[in-house]
Amino acid sequence: MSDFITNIFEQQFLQNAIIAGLLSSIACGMTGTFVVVKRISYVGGGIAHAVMGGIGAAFYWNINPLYGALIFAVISGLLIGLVRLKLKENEDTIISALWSIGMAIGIILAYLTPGYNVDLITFLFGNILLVDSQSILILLVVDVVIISFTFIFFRQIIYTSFDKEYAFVRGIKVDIIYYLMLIMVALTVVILVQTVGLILVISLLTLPSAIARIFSNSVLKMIIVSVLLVSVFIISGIYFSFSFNIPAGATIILVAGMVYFLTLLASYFRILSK
Amino acid sequence: MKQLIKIDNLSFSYGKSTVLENINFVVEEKDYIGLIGPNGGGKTTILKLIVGLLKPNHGTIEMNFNGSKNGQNNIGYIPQFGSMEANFPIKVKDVVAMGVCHSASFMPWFNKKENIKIEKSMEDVSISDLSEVSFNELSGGQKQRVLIARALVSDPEILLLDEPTSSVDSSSELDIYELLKNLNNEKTIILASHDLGFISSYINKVACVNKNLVAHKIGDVSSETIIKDAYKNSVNMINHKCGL
Repeated sequence: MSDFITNIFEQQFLQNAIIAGLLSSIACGMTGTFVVVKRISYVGGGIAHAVMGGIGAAFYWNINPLYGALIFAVISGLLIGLVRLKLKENEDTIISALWSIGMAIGIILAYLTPGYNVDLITFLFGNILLVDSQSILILLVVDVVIISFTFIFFRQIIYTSFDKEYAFVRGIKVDIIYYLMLIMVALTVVILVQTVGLILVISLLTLPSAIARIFSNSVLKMIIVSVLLVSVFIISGIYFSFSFNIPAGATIILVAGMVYFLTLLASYFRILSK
Repeated sequence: MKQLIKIDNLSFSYGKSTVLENINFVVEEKDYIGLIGPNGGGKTTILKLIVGLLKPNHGTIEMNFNGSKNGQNNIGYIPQFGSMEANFPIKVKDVVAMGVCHSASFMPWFNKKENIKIEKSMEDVSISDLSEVSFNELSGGQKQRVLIARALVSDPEILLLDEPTSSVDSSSELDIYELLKNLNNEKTIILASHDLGFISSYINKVACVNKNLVAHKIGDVSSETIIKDAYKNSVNMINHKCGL
């Protein structure tokens, strides 16, 4: 443990990883809470995989992959919203389509770009230990956007999620709020692709808030607990990854998964003992 | 008496299935109207049309309120709580606070004026002690009171209630009817219900809805006529004395 702490002070990459982890946990805890209470985790999964197309395109045209990811994520989010609200269809088909089409575009463009296959793996499984300072700056900007959205529209998001019809009757623009939530999910997904990779995003987006849900009687409390949990999961994931030389993203998810199942077990026994 | 709402020649359909046809109906100030009819007969649809959740295919709904407040503050809507997200982490006070929110309600906190209104409304329906309790943990009767408080926050002229006692035990049902009776001193009430049950002794008018609408004044008709109007003779009425 003390070895790890000494290394944090000495190694730039560990410092970057921890800063990126803390920045991710803010976005993830906020958006994850809305995803869990609104039950749209599959939207997160769909957007995460669609992002692969953007990353492939970024490799192909040689720009920062995060920008490619950002554009694809936001477009997929808005498309999901359009299908739901304008065509009045269930989202699941469009989500599945975006999920696999995005992956397909990514695979083809990456194949056409020589020498990028290794980097592609980084985005599939994430590697928080490779985050550079430019990415941290992007994370910071995206975080500020998500925090502002959450604060400004807090009540409107909660009311729309809890009772959409009544929110509409009160004059809240429920459709705009839904799009806003999708954009928040898209932005958070881009952040988490760096941390745990696009395949594992869905777990980090939902498990901490699902755990927080068990202990919270308000959305605000749920957000605070989620942010704390995500940061604990990410930091301990980095620690285990560093100590045992195993992949960071997968380790973070395993820590989150274990805590989730332990909490489920504990709440099951609590119900039994009542 | 002043006419608050005037529904003229209104029709509505979901796709090809017509739910309401040629509805003509007037709501006067301080009315307490029972909207009676079978499930699927169009009661909820009428309420949703009045409140603006649905738009009529034909016909008009005219509203004529006293104050200068905008429409959404003059109507207190109390939907069935099945329409809400189950198991949502929200406290009673935050549910009631929905009644003061609007399109420019930004930031997570309320201002002082809103807070006073919220507290007063919870007092009016005796749920102040439940303020910090999670909405999920309440009984059916308590939930109904919370929704009434939410509707009262904006001090509306009219209350629209959709089956307020459908998942409430019978003692809380009476409590809720007593509460509504008191509210009727100041407010106009339209209450949708699939049976006349308790409400026949509180209401002054009954509107039977089953695609069409037939209105009666209470006292003019027997409950048998009402049930026949509402259910189109599809029920057998058995007049009996059970002798208990």
